[in-house]
Amino acid sequence: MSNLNSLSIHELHKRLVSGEITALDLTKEAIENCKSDSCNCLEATCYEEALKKAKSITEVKEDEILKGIPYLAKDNYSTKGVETTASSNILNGYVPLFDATVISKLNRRGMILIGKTSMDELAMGGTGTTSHKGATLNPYDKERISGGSSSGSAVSIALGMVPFTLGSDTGDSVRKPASYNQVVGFKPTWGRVSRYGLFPFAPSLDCPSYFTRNVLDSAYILSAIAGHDEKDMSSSRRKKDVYEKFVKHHRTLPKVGYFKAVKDSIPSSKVRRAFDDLLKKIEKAGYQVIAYDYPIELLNALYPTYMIISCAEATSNNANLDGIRFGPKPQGDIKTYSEYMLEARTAGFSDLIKRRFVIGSFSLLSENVYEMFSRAQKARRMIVDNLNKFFDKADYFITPASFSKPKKINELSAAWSKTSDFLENIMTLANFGGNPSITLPLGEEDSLPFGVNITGRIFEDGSLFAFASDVEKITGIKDVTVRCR
Amino acid sequence: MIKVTLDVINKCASSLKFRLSEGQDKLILSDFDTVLAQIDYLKSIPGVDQMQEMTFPYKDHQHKMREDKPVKPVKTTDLLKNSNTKIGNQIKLPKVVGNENE
Repeated sequence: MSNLNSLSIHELHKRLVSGEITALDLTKEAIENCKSDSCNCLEATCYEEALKKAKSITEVKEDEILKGIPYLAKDNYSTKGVETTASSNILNGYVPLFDATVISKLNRRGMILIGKTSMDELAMGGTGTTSHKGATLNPYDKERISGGSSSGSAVSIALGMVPFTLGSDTGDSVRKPASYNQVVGFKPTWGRVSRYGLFPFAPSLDCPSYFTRNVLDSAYILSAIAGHDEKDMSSSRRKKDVYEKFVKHHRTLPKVGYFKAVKDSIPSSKVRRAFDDLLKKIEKAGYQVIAYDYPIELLNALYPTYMIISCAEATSNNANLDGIRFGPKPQGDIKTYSEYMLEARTAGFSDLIKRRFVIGSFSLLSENVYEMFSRAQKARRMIVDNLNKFFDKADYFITPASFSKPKKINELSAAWSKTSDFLENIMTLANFGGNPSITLPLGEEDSLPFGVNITGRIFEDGSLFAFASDVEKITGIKDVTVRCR
Repeated sequence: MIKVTLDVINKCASSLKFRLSEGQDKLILSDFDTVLAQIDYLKSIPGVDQMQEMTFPYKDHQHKMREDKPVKPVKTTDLLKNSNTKIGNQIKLPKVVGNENE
């Protein structure tokens, strides 16, 4: 059965402009797709509002590229009138009174919000299994993780429910699930897109990010959502670009680099061969490919640095979730607000979140802050300084986005990882440095997809799209959905 | 640095206004073995303590006061959507104001 929502945004736009299809056709189909969700992708829906908006769109003009296109948003974006829980019981019943800036911008362009997607609770996780409504399943093998934290957004676009989904990326929360689900996942330069209305996890690392099924669509979306926002003091005042022009006019830079330690450590022969093959083809396409010696001691520092900083920032940022106005309502003889909060927060957070908060809180105690949080921030500086040295020699950093098959759900461990596996954490580099970074499909191992990740210099999002578009041509993999395979 | 014990972990949880479920404090204590080893690792990286802390990825912030523009207040009907318990056009909150020493 044909599914219009499996098509790219630019293809759908052509059909909308010509009148071959209508926004209502697309929206009705997207709603049916959501109703047949078999992977637990959704948190909340807003079908009535979506249909109302779709009916109001009677014409789409040539320059209205996003008008009439349905989309889903991760459940950590504030959406006016639509319950938003970040997949946590502590936010049950919270109905935002305003839209996040990103949501407002997309809605103003005529995009149609269909619903909200499931995620790891409060965005703290990389497996997609810790939502209060249960695990989001990998559509290619339902016994395996889908990746997270933007699990529902990755899986729903892979299933062809809609052509675009919003996620957010603090460590690799869009780019890793993109790899597992054979879609394009893009994290813009930190500060390029407003975070206003995105629930904070670790604000110095958090970035509104998203999924499409090809690079050109990704560029169109950034053109729509980039720009300064006076409601977010960390959003940049630098002039934004028209990002699709970089793709259409092939505005790339010449040098592509990889880390020797990463390439030499790839455990899967299938991933290694695909990555080697890709590098050869990139060189053949006219790029200079550079092997770089990034210090191994800093690669091994990625995991502890990320975990200490993110847990500490999360502890502080989630202190506002007092459980009084929404969340679980404690019963019994409660006399004080402290008792009320204690009961509500005990019921509202899962064990995993509490463990992260305790570790974050411990690292912020005045007796520990220098040894723990402050030292992690210093390590971050060293990691980023060395990344910037790499960018003195090369224009793009390239690496596999995942190095082995996604884990089986029943084999997961909730314990703090004892090994500092730098391959698993390599994409945190772009969060530490604020760099734009994109994951594209690269290949498959036993019918399970894996991707390639490319990172550029800060605010060079446009040239990153141009190079990614070349890589997309080389691999020949784009516009993939589970059902079209 | 404070020595990590079960008591310290439970005090942290208490300050964070939640209780840990049975056995969680022991799991966290076990996590701390790894966390502290990793902190020692960061400490061992030559030159790390001479670095300046990095709070944000780059310096590009310009802090400006927003214009003092009037905005429309939120509609009562929108506000009421956030509560299951209402009295007329008011939200009924749980009684949480009491004497902490009671």
